Amino acid sequence: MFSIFEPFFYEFMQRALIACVLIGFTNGFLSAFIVLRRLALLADALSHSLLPGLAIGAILFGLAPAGLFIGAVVAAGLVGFGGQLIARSSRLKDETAIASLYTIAFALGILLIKYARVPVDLNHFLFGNILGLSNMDLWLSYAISFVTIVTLLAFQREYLLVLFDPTLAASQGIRVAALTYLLMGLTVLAMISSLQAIGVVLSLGLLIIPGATVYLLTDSFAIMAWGGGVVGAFGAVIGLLLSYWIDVPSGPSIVFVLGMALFLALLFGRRYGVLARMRHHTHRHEESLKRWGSAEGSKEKPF
Amino acid sequence: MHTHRLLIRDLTVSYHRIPALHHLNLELECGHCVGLIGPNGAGKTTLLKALAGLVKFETGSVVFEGHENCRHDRGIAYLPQREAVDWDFPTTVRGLIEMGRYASLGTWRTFSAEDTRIVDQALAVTNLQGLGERQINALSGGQQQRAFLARAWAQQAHVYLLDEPFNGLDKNAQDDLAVTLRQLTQDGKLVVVSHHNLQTAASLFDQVILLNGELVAFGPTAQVFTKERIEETFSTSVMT
Repeated sequence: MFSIFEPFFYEFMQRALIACVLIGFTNGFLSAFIVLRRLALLADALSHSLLPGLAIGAILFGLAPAGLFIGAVVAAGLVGFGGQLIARSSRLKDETAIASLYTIAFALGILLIKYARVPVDLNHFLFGNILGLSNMDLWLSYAISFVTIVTLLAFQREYLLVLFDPTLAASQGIRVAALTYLLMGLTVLAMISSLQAIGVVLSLGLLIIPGATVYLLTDSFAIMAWGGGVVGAFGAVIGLLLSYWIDVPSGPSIVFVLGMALFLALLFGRRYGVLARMRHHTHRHEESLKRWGSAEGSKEKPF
Repeated sequence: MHTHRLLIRDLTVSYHRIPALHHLNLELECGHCVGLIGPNGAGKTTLLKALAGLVKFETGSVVFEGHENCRHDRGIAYLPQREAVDWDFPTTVRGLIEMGRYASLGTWRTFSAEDTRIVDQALAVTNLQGLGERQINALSGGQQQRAFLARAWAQQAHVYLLDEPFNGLDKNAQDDLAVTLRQLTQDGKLVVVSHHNLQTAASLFDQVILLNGELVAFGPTAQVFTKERIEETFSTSVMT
C-alpha cells in the first residue's frame, strides 16, 4: 500500500534524509556569507572545478571518498588561485580569468573521467546520487557540517565586519584576505558534501538560494544565517521526499523546491517583496512623512 | 586636557608607481576639526586612507600616541564615502554601531553591559536615540553619516577620518552633521574631513590642510584659508 510515510521505512532513504538535513543546513548557513560577500560567481567556478579533481581522484584512488575529497579540494584551490594569479599578472580581469579556467577544468574533468580505474557514471557526479550514499559519505557530511558551522560561528564577528565593508574591516585590523580565503575553503567543503546529493551542476543552488530567500525577509544577519540553514534543510528534505513520491531525480527536485521558496519571498516579502515595493511606491510621500517626520530624537525635516 | 598628536613625516604614497602624495609633513593635534581641501586628484582620499593604514607607504611614517606607522590602530577610525557602503546590508543602526566594538572584543569575549553602555552613549552623542532599531537604509543621508560616526565612537576612536561626508546632504542634515563634528572636537577628538565646497569650509573647520599632491599650506583657517592660497592650491596642475 502506498503511504506518504513509505520513504521513512527504507534504510537508504533514512540515510538520504539525514544527509539532506546536514547538507541543506550547512550550505544554507554558509549561504548568507556567500550572498553578502557577492561570491556567487566564484562559488559557481569552484563547483565546476571540483569535477577534474574528482576524476583524478577516481583515477588514482578509485571511488574512495577520501581520494575524491582530496582531488576536489586541490582542483578547486588551483582554479581559485590560478584565476587570481592570471588576473594579477596579465591584462585579463579576474572574472574572465576564473570563468576561462573553470570551463577548461570542467572540460578536462569530463575527458579524464573516462580513464578512471573503476567505471564511473558521469551522471552521478554531474547530478548527484543521494540514494547511493554510503556510511562513509554520511560521516564525511557530518564532519564537513561540523567544521564549517563551528568555524563560521567562531569568527562570526570578524566575518560580519568583512561582509559589511572589507575596507572598514581592514582599518580595524581584521585580516580580510585570510578570512575570505577561509570562506572560500569552507565553500568548497560544503559543495563537496552537497555534490553527493545534487551534483556539480546544481550544488550552487543549495549554496545561494537559501540565503537569498531569507535576505528578502529579514534585516538581521543572524536570522539570515540560521534562517538560511533552516530553509536549506527543509528545502532539501521536502525536495527529496517529493522526488520519491512523484519519481523524479532528487537534485533538480531539491533546487526546484528552494526556487519556489525564493519566488514566494520575492513576491510576498513583507518589506522587500515585489508586491510590497509596488504598494509603497504609490504612497511614497506618506511613507516618507511617516518615516522622517515622527522620528524621535531626530531633528531632520522630511524632504 | 591631555593632548594627542598625529605626526606625519615625509609621507609618500603611490598607485602603480604614480605618486598621489609627495613627501608630506604635518603635525595634527587632537581637539581640532581639520578640513582637507584640494582639487580632484590632490590626494585627499589617499591621505585619509594612509592615516587609516589602508594603503602602503612608499616613504615616511605616521605616528600617533607614540606608535609608529599606526596601521590598524583602533584609535583611528575611517569613515568611507556614502556611495561605498552597501546600505541593503541586513543590519540595524544599533547593529552597525556594535560592529565598532567587535575589533576590541576579538573572537571570544562576550558582549558585556559595558559594551552596551558604550553603544547607547554613541547613539546619544550622534543624536540618533530612538533610531537604533531601524535598518540602515531607512535613514536619511545625514543620519547615515552620523550612524557611521557613532560606530567610530563605539570603537573609542580618537581620530575620525571622514571622506566627503557633506556630499549629497541637504542643508538641515549638513547643519546636524556639523554640530556632531563640533561635539566630537570639543570632546578632545581629532576630526579630519575631506571637503570640496569652498563656501562652507570656513565655517566648518578651525584648521585647514590645503593639498595638491603635496602640501600647499596648513594652519588655522583664518590664516591659511585665503584667496591667494586657495588659488595656488587649485591652479597648479596635478596628475589626475
